[in-house]
Amino acid sequence: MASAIPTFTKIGKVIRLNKHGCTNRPFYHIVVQKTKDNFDGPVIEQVGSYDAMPNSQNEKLVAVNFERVQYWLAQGAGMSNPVAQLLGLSGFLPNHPQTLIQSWKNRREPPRERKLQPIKGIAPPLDNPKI
Amino acid sequence: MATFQSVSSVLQPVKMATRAAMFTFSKFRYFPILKHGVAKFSVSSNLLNASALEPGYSRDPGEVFFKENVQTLLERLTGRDCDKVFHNRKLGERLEPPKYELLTQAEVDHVMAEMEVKLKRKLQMPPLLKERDPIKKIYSFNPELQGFDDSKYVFINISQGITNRNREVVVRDPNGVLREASWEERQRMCQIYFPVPGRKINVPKMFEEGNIQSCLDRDEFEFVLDRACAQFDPDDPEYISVTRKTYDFVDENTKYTSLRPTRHFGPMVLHLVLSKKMDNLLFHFINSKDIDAAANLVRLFHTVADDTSPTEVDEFQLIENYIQGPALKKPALELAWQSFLEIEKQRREVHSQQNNASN
Repeated sequence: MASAIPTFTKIGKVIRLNKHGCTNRPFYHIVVQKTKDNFDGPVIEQVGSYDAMPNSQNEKLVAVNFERVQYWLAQGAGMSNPVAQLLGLSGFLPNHPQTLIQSWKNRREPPRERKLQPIKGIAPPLDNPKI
Repeated sequence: MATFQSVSSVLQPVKMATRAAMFTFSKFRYFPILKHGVAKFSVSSNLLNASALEPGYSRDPGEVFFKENVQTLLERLTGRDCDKVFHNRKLGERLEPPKYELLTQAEVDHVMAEMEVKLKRKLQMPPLLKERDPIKKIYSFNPELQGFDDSKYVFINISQGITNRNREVVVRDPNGVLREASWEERQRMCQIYFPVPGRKINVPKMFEEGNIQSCLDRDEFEFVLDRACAQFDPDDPEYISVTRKTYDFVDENTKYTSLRPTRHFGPMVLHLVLSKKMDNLLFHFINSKDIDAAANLVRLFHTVADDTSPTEVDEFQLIENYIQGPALKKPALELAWQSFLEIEKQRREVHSQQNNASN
């Protein structure tokens, strides 16, 4: 089923991540937009959000309005790669091949760790439990 | 007074139950009456359901609480002290002085009818339920996804038109398991994306062991119970433990008057009846000469114990039979009852003397 839905289209409407937030603190809106529009340009509908920074419980929060996503997919909207991956992780779509490839690569060679220094007096460093 | 009677008979708790509507009122949350939700919990021989029976409940509280006769008895026990129900609460909001208006009788009746509705809302009792079973559903297990990330991904469905109780919240763990979120995760997510006023995302420190005790020692029962209502769902194990602790503390120290006109009195009474601790309360009623309340309490006991409504019409006889029969603290109750009867006899004598004198 996933192969029938184009995950990238050159024209038309697309469901993708728009990066908001600020430096060193990304926060994505899952939006439906025309492909040619900028990330800060007109948005047809915001259909969810994705917080890329894990919280104190080591969770990344993703809110998706699945009803509207279904509607837009039925209307012929495309999906960007990251959105398709997220929806695959959520169980709405089958697992994206890119997720499988990335998992395999990470297991073979762990990803480079960025040296995040704790900001004194404000937040402790992130706890990164390995699998 | 006839108008009050007709209005209260219209707004029966059964009608509210079938609607199962969500009441929200400024800072403190009122419950949807989970009538259809309770049906799922009712009869099961599952070992997990024994947890509600461990603290000494004789029956499943969810079954008993929603019965019409139990509800009417609890409402009668709570009473309707308008001054205390509508008292000004210190919530950090601006308090307004009372308004005085000149009205015709018809307008007064209209306002009274509105007040009835508000009173019913304010006195809506938070239900007494069994502890909920932990969620254990797993949707899929994909070990090939291990390593895609170090953190969990929590997905919540923010579609319109579904209640938070039915909202889909799933978690993809780093080991590749896709499961339904646990109750704590689910509540946290719903509070983040659909905040309920008065509720914090993480459980407040007030509900931890030592901190509750210090609140109770300061006699802040209504505050603790109201905050527990706002923070938790009624079948949350934390809610049940906090409320039980409060009820037991109030019972041990016999400080019923502060909770009497509130919406928490009904559930507290039912809790005491179910855990067979109602004698202190009966003692309190007899001492304060509130015979109606004492009789209603005994009727409630009979309804809960074996679904019977006692046949005695005379309230005094009803209470006597209870004290002679199923009561646990017989000596104290008998003493109180005897002294009450004597006072009652003297009062009647004085009354009849006065009548004779006036005649």
